[in-house]
Amino acid sequence: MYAKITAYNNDISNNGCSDFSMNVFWGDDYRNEFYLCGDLGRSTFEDVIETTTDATGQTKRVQNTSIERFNLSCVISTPLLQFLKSIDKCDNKILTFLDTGDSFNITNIDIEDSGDNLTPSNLVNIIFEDEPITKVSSVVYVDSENKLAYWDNDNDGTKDLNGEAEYQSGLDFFQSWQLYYEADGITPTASGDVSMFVYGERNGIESLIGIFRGAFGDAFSDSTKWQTTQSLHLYFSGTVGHTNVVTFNKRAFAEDNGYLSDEEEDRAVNVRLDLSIDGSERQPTTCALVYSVLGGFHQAKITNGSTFEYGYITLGKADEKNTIDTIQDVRQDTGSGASTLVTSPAASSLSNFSQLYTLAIAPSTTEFYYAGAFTTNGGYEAENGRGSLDASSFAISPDGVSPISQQQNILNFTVGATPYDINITWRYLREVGFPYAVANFPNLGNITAAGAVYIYLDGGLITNLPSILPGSQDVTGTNTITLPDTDVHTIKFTLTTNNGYEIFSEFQVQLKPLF
Amino acid sequence: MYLQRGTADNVDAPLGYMLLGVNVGVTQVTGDIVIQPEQDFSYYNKRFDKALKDGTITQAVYNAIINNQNASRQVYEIENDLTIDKEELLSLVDLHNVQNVDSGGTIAEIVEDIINENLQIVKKI
Repeated sequence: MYAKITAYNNDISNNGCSDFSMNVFWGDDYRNEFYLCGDLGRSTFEDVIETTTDATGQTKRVQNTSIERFNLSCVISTPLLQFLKSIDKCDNKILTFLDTGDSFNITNIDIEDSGDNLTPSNLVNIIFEDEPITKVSSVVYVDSENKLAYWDNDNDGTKDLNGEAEYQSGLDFFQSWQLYYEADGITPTASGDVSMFVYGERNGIESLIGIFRGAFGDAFSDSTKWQTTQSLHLYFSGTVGHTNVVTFNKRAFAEDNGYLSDEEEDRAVNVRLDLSIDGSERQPTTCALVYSVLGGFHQAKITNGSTFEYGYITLGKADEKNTIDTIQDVRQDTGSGASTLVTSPAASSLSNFSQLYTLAIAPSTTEFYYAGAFTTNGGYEAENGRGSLDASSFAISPDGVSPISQQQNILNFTVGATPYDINITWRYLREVGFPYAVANFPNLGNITAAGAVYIYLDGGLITNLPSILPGSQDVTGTNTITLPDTDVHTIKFTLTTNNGYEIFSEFQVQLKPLF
Repeated sequence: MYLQRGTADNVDAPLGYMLLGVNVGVTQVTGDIVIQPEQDFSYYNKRFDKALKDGTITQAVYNAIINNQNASRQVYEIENDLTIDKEELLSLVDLHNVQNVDSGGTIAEIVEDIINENLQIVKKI
């Protein structure tokens, strides 16, 4: 058996770097490599019993851990021995079997050394572990003569191992179909004790939130069949049986039990359903994260035609508002250049998808250009440039009476529309109203040509808006913008007037797990 | 009360809210609730029980939902002669720059003007 040991420290840019040196330079990714020739020998086990002390002071075993250790016998010489004696001070220790190319991270290295001076032919035993072998989950015993339970996520009659349940977007529930077989895995069975374990999973941590135990024909909505603290029977429907569907309303479950995200906090969890019959190996299916969209969607304009009060309407999906955390809005007189900064809006609720923020009153008979920027309570940034003259607004932005539309769905959806499509109804306003019908924004100017209004995603042109013409005063439309992934992206509606002013609204958006 | 762009076919009034409409002669303002597709979950009707108890919906709305819900979305008339605050309605028209609304008209006429602009008036019941 031929092997190679490589040991080195992390470089200094790595926080895990060790400041270690001997007679030779060891730090900053310097590598030592030694080649060995010997016998891998037989592995041994060290048993470790972990205990805890209960309330009465008695010691209680909580876990047994077996650590496998390997014996490597090899002919060794002094420089190598020195290397090995200090090897534990290296951050990385890798054993490579040259015969197979297999590499292992090794740890807890012991050198069997009696202290004698070594000759070039001394035999030394090196004992090490590769990655520690620790029992992290309960032992599961599988009876090969037992019946078998599986999930069929797409109702095609074949088992789907460790897959995702089908999400019915619009109805907010997941569904999967049960398959139960005799031990041959082919013959359907019509009886047995069925268990379904329901786990909540988030960031790799899982917790059992309920167990259903029932026989064929029992309803998953039967509360007497459940052990749960979260009333899971309310959110399931269907009955136990081969090819029967099980449905789970994850949204209602999330709303009632605190797993529904809002713009400030992500509370969504995966819900995993493990199915078993007569104690068979549990088979999971996952009710995955359902994504919605958040962002700095807004319309800014004159909000009171009598007083010339101006402000913002922030928008979201129905029942999912985006609200303002901090704002800076500068109103600049297009004639004199004098400007006024407003940072303290008055907020009020408009609807289940919108919020109104009034800022100040624009003095009459004056044309203004506004430069606004805000951050939502979800952390998304938005900006705009717009104009006003008394009751008239000059702006391009999302429409203040239209909720943002997006088909909430799982990322690996099989039913419904993609969650990556965001439908935004926009509104172009360039009103020419009382009492300045002739004025027509003399300083700000006008759109340069028909359709010279554009939508950008992350700086890339998506489309222009041909329905907006130089004479247009009020135009609405809807465009679909497809986000490439779940990262933060920026959408911008913009035009530049023939007088060089940019009228625009720009906002960050992101797909986020809702439940 | 708020405005939402769309028609009664695609605007969902939340539980406890209705969509305003007008009668044939445009003399009265009507109110329609949206009954969402019934779902086969134990929690479903419990939510209406809870909404009735906490005052989110009236007994009439509760009965209308329970007695009429089925597999499809429905728009169901719950009021046929509503009294609406005209000033509140006109302030929404102003806030959202709704065009072609005759502010001197009757309330029913204003409601009709707004609906003709592809907008729905959503009002708490």
